[in-house]
Amino acid sequence: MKNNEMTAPLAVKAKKKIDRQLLGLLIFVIAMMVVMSFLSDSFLSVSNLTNVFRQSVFIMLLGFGMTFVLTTGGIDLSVGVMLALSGGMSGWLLSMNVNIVPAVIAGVLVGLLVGAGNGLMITKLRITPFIATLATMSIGRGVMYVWTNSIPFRNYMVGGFRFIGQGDIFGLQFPIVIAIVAFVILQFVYRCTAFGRHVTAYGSNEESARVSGINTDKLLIKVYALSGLMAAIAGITLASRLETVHPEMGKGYELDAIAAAIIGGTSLSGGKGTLVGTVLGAFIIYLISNALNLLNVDPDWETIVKGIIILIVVAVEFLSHRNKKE
Amino acid sequence: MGNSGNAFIEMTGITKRFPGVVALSDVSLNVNRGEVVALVGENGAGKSTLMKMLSGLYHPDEGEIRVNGKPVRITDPGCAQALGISTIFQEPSLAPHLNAVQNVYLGREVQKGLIGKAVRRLDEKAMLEETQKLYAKFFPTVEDVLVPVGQMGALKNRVIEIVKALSIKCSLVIMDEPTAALAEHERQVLFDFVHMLKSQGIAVIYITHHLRELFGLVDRIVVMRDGKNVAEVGPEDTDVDDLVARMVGRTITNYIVKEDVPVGGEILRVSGLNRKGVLEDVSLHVNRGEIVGLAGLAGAGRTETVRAIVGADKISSGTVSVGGRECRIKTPKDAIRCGIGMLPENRKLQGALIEQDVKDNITLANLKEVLAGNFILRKNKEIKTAKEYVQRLGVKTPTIYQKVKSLSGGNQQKVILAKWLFTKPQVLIFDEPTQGIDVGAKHEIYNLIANFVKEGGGILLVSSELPELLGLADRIYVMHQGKIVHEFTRAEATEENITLYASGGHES
Amino acid sequence: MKKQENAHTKKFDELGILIVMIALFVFLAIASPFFLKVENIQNLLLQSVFVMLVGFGMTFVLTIGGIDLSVGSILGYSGAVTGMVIAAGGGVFPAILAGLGTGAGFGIINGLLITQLKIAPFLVTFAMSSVVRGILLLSTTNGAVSGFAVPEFTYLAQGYIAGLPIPVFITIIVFVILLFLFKFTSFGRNVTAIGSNREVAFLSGVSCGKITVGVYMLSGLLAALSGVLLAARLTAVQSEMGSGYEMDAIAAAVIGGTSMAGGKGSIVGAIIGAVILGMISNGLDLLSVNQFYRQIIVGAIIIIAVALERFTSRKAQRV
Repeated sequence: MKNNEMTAPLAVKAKKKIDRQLLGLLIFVIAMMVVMSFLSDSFLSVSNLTNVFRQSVFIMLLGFGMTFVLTTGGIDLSVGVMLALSGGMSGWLLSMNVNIVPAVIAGVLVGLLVGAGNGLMITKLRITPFIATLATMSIGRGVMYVWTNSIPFRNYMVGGFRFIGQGDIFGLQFPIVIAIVAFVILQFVYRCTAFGRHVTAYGSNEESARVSGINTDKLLIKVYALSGLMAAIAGITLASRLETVHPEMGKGYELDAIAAAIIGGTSLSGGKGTLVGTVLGAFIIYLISNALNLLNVDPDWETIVKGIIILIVVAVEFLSHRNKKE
Repeated sequence: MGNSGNAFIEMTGITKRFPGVVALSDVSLNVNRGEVVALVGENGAGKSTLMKMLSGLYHPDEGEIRVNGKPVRITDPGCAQALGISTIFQEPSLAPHLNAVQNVYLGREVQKGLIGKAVRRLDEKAMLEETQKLYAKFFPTVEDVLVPVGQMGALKNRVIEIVKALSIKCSLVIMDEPTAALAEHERQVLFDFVHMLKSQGIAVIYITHHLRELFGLVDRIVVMRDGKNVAEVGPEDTDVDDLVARMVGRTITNYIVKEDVPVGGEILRVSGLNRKGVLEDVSLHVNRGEIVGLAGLAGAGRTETVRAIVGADKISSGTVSVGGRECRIKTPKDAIRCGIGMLPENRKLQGALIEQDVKDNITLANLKEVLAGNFILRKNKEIKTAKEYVQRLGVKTPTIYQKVKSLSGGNQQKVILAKWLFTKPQVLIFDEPTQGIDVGAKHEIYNLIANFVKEGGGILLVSSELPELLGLADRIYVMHQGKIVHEFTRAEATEENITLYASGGHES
Repeated sequence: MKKQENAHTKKFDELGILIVMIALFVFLAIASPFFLKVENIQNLLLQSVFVMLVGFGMTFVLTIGGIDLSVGSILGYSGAVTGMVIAAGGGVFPAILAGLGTGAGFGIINGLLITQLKIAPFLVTFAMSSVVRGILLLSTTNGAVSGFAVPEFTYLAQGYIAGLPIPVFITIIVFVILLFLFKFTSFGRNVTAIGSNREVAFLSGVSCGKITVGVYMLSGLLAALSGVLLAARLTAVQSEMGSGYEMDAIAAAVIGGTSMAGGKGSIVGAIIGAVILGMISNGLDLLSVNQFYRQIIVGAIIIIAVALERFTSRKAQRV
């Protein structure tokens, strides 16, 4: 009995806090849908919205990894490049007639290893996450150019591989299925496992995690490896979807992934994150592109709008915090 | 002592070197089961370094640590916990985003298998139940357990840290300055814990600067100086003066000096300071040649008051006058222009640029004094100024180019004081000027404070150490919940009546 | 005596990297017969100055504890503004002022967003980078900005003074001014103080807001200067002009011993850093190695430089 009394307020409190941010986002989405339904006939159709969701899957996957990274108080600027390297590895191996299973595994390994490498630089060399992953981004992009010699990888599509990016299960496109499965697993990891708890604790107060006997180096390496893993999954899926791996694949995705996470309510300063928010954040980013597209706005506006939205979201977060304090 | 079968910890011949300095040399320490041992010494005497070896944060270069008679290597905090040693650190070490239960179990979460043993999930319910069963009396309300600890006060945080330390099945609890953030009556709560631990056969190592706390609390006092053991006494065989003498290595008698200084006209007047939810109608004044104390518990609004006076925080209403003239103060820059200087509470985070050198720190607040025109630094004048102030305040530093972080706490405080004296202030505000400073340096800071008022300045002194306030101040204001509730003259003030007002006891 | 000791410790960071630069120089001189040719050295300097100018600004920004990711976009758009004004017949001088003003303006906006709304610098400038690049894309929808290659303007990039290409000459002047600003003025001292500990600086009466806005304005202005010179050199402004410069500028600054954590910076170091980056490109060209390796090398250098700083400063801290 007593436990119920105890746990109930916990649930209520936790919900109340997250809900506020998510509620704001939902209202934004609904408002946008209402306005858009007047301006465009095709916007509010199931096929259009599914399409938007499918487009947002890749950023969403990166955003999941980013949510963990941001929760530790770090950042991962190399997700775009890890995506390209992993997709590239699978595509390249397939084009050399390697069997699909080892090709996909190799792609996943590339992401894991580069991510773990980030973690090692951050923990063992004590380089700040921002710089370490920025350097990885530069190196990785260079490797992509050298490796492809500026000629995209093509002609690697085999039946099984096509399914990853283009197939469907029960009418759901497979990339969406991947995103849903990843979400369910990671949500569990974030909220219900010791690992997730330690990630939050580390971002909240590094010293606290350390003196509580948590192996913080190992923790961070795992977190960055996880980010690499998510990038690899996104990269392989995208390679299958696009049927080509360009040396510039995934360029700028790191910014979208960060944007998705912080729009969703994950804090840049660590200690607080939400995967549900990240799903919404990624969806909103593509919803806006889609809307601009349907309104025949010059696609160049997209970058401007995206930049402004990020600023507004962060500013609103700051102002609401300040109001709460006052 | 030593080899009795009852010893839990035996540290012998411990030596630790850091580049350029021997932090500990041949130090020994024994602690028996159920014994409360105090470890005292000036800052830099090596107490915390020694304790960090027991918590697994440092490793000795030489020497041996035995636990229960067996030699051990304590490689990391997890290993220390496994040996039954838990630590309440000097710096707050809770994760503010997590609640009490989550903090208490951090790193040792209760888990249950979800898919076999491989995939495990947190068992929040079990942790909550256990916390409630064992520590209910520490967490009287639901909020105490479930609100993120970042939203709680200092005392509750301390309590959670203590529970966290206790919840590790331990035979020894190390408490490093556990009373630092606590008010007098809160300290009593902590002392009760110590007695309780002792009665359960758990040993305690207690580190503190508040020597008076030790009497009636501990069984044995170990004194350290300059990385060595210098004495070991029972509390019945010593007193505060004796301990201080042993810590410093010389006798300091009556280390607070109060000189008679003629009190002049009013120099600072603060009227009707308001800040919503924090300060309510705070008014006070300081005369020339006067030291005015501001007493109160942590969170009573003392720091907030002085920050508001110098414009570090925004206020909703209120005025500040210096020498009878009203000043419009919006930022600390305005306060400096009006002749008010404030030495903040936290030396390293608010007081000094610890990564910069002594010279840059001294001139920082009054850079315009060493400028040619509006813009260009006159390096010669700057160097001359820095040297002059280093000499005048007796800052112990090899050169004025030394980084401040390499100086001792007392000397850092002197550099900060030099910075403010260089702004030629009429009023100086000190917020906890001697916190964490060793006894010898305290004495020097008191002398500098006395000199400033002798030259006609006025001082507003915030301090949690009542003996310091009673020893130095001519008048004392007492704050409670953001209001000034009483003003004492020097003759009226006693520890008892200040505590009474500070804790709101006068209202009942 | 005492002063020497200090000067010694302060110079040490730059000395180490200076040796690296000389070693690289000697290596290239031996590896390629063309390296020491006057034209090649001139070319090398000319290649380096664009990054160097941006790197100077970045040094100030990093020293105050911030970061400016928008410099690449600002560089591109400021060059485009100058080009458009000239092409529209606005005259060279007003055009240059317009370009510089654009850069300074965006810098001020960065600074205001950071100080007034208290948004993290990384985020503000990253968003600004996106916004400014978007504006540049819009201005180049119908192809690159061009038609501004009047002789008075291109002379800026192609002329020589005393055997030095004019951009190099301008950079030297800018360097002297900035070195003075950094080391011998209250502005420079306050920048270091804020980067070292903002709260301490604020409580000591430093106008943190104004100085911060000033620093981002300076960064924008220097990026714009680089953009104007680059426009004069390239005679057309593509939509992608300047992209990636933020990376090079950060690299130049951190190679030169500026700390990412703030409170410590070196203008001289930024020069050496930019020259090293220039030599890497130049060397790859001369040795006929794919330029794509440059990015890999730049990334690796940043890691090494930062790790070395961490390692040495950690050792020094341990007292």
